Amino acid sequence: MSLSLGEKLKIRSTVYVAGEPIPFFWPMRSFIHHNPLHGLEHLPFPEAVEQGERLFHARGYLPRHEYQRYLAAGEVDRERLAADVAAFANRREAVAGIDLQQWLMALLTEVEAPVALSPTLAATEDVHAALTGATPAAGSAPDAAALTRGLRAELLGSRPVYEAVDTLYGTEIGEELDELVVKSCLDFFDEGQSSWGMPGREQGFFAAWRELAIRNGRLFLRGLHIERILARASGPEEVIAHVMRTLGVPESQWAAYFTRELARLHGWAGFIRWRSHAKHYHWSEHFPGDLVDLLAVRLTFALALLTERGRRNLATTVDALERTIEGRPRETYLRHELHGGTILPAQALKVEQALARAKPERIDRVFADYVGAKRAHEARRQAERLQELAAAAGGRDALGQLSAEALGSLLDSLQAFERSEGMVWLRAMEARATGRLLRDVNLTPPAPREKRPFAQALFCIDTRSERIRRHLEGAGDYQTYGIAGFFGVPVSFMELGKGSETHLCPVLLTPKNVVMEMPVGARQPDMAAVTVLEKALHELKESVVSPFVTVEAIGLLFGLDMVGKTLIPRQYNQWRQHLHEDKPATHLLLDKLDREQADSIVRAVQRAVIVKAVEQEYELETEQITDTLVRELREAAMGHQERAPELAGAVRLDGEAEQAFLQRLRQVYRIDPAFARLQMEQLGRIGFTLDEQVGFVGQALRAIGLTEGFSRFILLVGHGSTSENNPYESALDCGACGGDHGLVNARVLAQMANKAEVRERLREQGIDIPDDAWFAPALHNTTTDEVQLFDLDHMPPSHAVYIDRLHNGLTAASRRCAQERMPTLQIEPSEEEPGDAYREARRNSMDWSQVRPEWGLSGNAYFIIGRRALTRDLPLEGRAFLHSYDYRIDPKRRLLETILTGPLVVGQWINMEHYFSTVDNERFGSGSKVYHNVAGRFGVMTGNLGDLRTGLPSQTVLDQGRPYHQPLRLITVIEAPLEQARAAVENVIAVKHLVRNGWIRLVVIDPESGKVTAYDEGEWVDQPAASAQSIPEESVHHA
Amino acid sequence: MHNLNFSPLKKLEIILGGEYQSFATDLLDRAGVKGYTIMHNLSGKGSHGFHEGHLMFNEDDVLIMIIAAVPEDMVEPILEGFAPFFNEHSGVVFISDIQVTRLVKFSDQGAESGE
Repeated sequence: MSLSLGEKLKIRSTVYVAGEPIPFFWPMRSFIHHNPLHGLEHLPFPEAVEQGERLFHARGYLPRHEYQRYLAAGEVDRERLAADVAAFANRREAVAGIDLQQWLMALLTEVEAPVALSPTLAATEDVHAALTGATPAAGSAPDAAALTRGLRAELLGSRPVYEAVDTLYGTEIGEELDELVVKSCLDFFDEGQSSWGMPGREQGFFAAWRELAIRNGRLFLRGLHIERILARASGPEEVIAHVMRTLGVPESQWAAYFTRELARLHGWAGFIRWRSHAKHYHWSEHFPGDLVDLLAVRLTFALALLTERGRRNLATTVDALERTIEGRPRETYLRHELHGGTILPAQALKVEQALARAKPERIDRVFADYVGAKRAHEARRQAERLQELAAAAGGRDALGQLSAEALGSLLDSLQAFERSEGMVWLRAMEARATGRLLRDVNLTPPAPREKRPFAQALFCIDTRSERIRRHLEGAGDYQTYGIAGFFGVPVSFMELGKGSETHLCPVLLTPKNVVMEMPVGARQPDMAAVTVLEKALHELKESVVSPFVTVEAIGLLFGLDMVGKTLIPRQYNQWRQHLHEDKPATHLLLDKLDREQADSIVRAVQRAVIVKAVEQEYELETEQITDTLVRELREAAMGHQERAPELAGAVRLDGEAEQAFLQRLRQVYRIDPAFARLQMEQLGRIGFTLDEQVGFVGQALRAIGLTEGFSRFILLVGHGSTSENNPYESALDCGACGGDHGLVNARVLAQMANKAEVRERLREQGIDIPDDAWFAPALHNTTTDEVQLFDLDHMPPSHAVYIDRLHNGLTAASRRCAQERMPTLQIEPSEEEPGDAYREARRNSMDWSQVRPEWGLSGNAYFIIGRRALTRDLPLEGRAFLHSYDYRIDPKRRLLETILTGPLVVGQWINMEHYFSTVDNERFGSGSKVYHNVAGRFGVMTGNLGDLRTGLPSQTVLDQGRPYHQPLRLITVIEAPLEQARAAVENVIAVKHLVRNGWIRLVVIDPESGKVTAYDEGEWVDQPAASAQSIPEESVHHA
Repeated sequence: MHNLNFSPLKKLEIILGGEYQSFATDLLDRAGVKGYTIMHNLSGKGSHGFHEGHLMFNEDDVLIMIIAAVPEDMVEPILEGFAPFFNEHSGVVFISDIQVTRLVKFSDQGAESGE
């Protein structure tokens, strides 16, 4: 079959839209916390959760008994709970003799299991009969129309055909299909983990897979005639159309069908989705593959499996299913019960035997019996549950006296309530958490300081900074601030020894500037590769430029491929390994090159490459490769002259061979004008202009409200973590730095802020940094709580006297912080001396069997944008993102909007990732780390073969099976005049939608009026004044 | 001055959210469109309200417009291709009649007629 262009494009588009609810999966090398329901964020939270539950077969809220535990522990606002329950009850029809509100409260607080079951057969009358002990009315079996309706809803529509077949015949096609697809994915998407790579990958996922599949003998032996299906269509779009039409799925259902297909292996689908969108992802550029390919592969396997099973007279197309449903509804019903998992256990054997014989009279009899038995069973169970609830609510008698009609109303209300129960608990928990914060927050504006603090420190907004900031402030006269961990400077970093760039910034951004790392002292002498290149440089006088003819520069200018494979493969790898053993002290190159410098570099690099090329191709000795020879070759390759006589003479080449070599120089070694222009562009990306530097420093300082009163030391503290044998290591690093540690950005901003020219321009803008103020980069290790200072060799000598005091302060803070934190990681929390706690923390970072080196961001609940004075005296137990902000210097709201659009969104992603991984760790989270196996070098699977696990592992969010992270929506506090805050939120579309749809809970504290306002379900509601609010001590009492 | 040959074509102006740029350009590439122009940082008003245009922290949150000149027979397939997308997302496509002088840049027909 062949499709028109329009039809092909339509299928692509349909697949794209169908894949949108599936969240991206980033390779775990740089783990990105994200909302697993990001694709559903356009919906209000409760609806999105409902859809997510259906799509991913998961739970969107904790089971009731976990909330009851929280209630007993004082984490739930009982008053809010009662108020919401009352509001619900008032909206429902009253039931005679029953205090609905009381019953619902009893349901929540006293009963563990759900009460309102959804009976499929039992009617209210049956339940009533069971309750009153009356004989149930002679039930009539459900009529044929109702039966077929129910079956059609279950089996047809957007439900994947093989799923329906599985529930009718117990065939387990779905599992087999998933396995086959996963195997194909592992083969194609592997990133160097397996030693034998799949051939033909450059053609793309579907094409490469197709080549192998039509020849795969094993598939053929299983009876799967893949080649027949693939013979009918060439491209992936055609295959998709062919399979869907063969199965008979109506086109109007395709989009929903595709979504369900993709959601079955949502880890792999999310990864492929991410990968096909990623820019400059090496593997994707060489081995392309997208969701259309995935779906084509999957559908081919599905059709092959269904066809194979169809030979045993099973209904395996939509038409056949329809006929079975219409023609033999009772049999189909029984089949669905048996293999769909809803069968009444006592009846199972009888049903199975009847189906095996397939004699119509027997089936009818068994059907009638079964239906009757199930009805009675359902009615009995429902009655039992109601009685349990009645006992808890003290209304046994009232229950027995209800009429059937009233009973029906009661059941409806209970069912409706239990459906929305999760939200009721969530809101009550959030009310308690918010109340606690507002009760203890400090509304008194900070008194102006008499003298400047000993040191100021900027930490990342990460929740783990909260503890160390508190302890640092307690260790002496320190002032701390919170800022996004990349300090507002997006950097593309070329690390020493690496030929490729790392983006150190939130994943939403693309950095425009490259920063290169250069060694401070002399380079190691025994690097054959680099020596050769440097030798070609002897005419370059400018020493500052010579470091550019290095492996990094080659990587930047030619791409990693060239370096590794073409030029100096063995030496390059050896040298790289040697480098990691003892990395020399480095400094960062931040300033722009001028045009002349860039030109010299390109020429020098080209000459060096030519030397190497000539060596490799003609095996000439170094002395024979003269300057003239190299120059001629360069000029010829660049098109400035026709021939290169010197080389031709040296190796006796004829005209043709000479031209052939020149062509090789152009194509393989990339010595040509177009590429040279590209290289100049690349070099142009290095560094920041003075304007940019002033801009970044100014923006960072203004964003946190630090524009005067600078101390002698201003520490820029990035953070990172250390652990062994941990595929999730990147998840513990800084999200704002793209899953890497924040030291590089700290060093970059510090270097900029220490420059005299930058300070001069800032002075003109009104930010006067005194000459004795020094910005020093530092790194907070969140596993050990150590805070290490860097670039101390750049520090002015005048500050050396104070370094000891600074070190002591930092060490004291680290030890106390470890002391506070360690009990949360111990199986039996014990009080420890700071020194012991500190040592234990270090051990965690080095122990390769430690599955929980630190709790990371678990426990996050608050995002506070405002001055430190607000929270200084409030211990938040490492549960708050703290971003410094001073509304007085931000009349145009630009700074607030920047904080909202960036750091807050990242905070929300982290919060939602933790929320969903906690409420259903098996489906939204990744299960236990202990069973994880690394797949393809970018993800983990549980066991040998399975979906890529997404989300956080159980060890991160659960503690011995129970939630450690309290699943709440992010409680966001903005300290600013109400109108200013509201306008800022309105202006940032993404945040406006998050607030309106209830993905974050917003509270505004107006420092001018002292009023607190919260946004709740579409309205701004005044909260009682913070100081006046008193939370009654929670006492555990029984209704 | 030699005579200019004017050839009629259709212009497509596709306005959609910035995060869908690669999807849209991929679709156009597969349709065989020879080139297109992208305008960034647009603002505007639609059935979802006014959309502020300035580029913030986040590069995805802006509107873009893709302009492409295509032969008439490509218009329907391209619209057919975009239909499922615009069923779920906000945005518009405008189709207008234009003329170009260097047909070869936009269509294979130009190459054959020896432009």
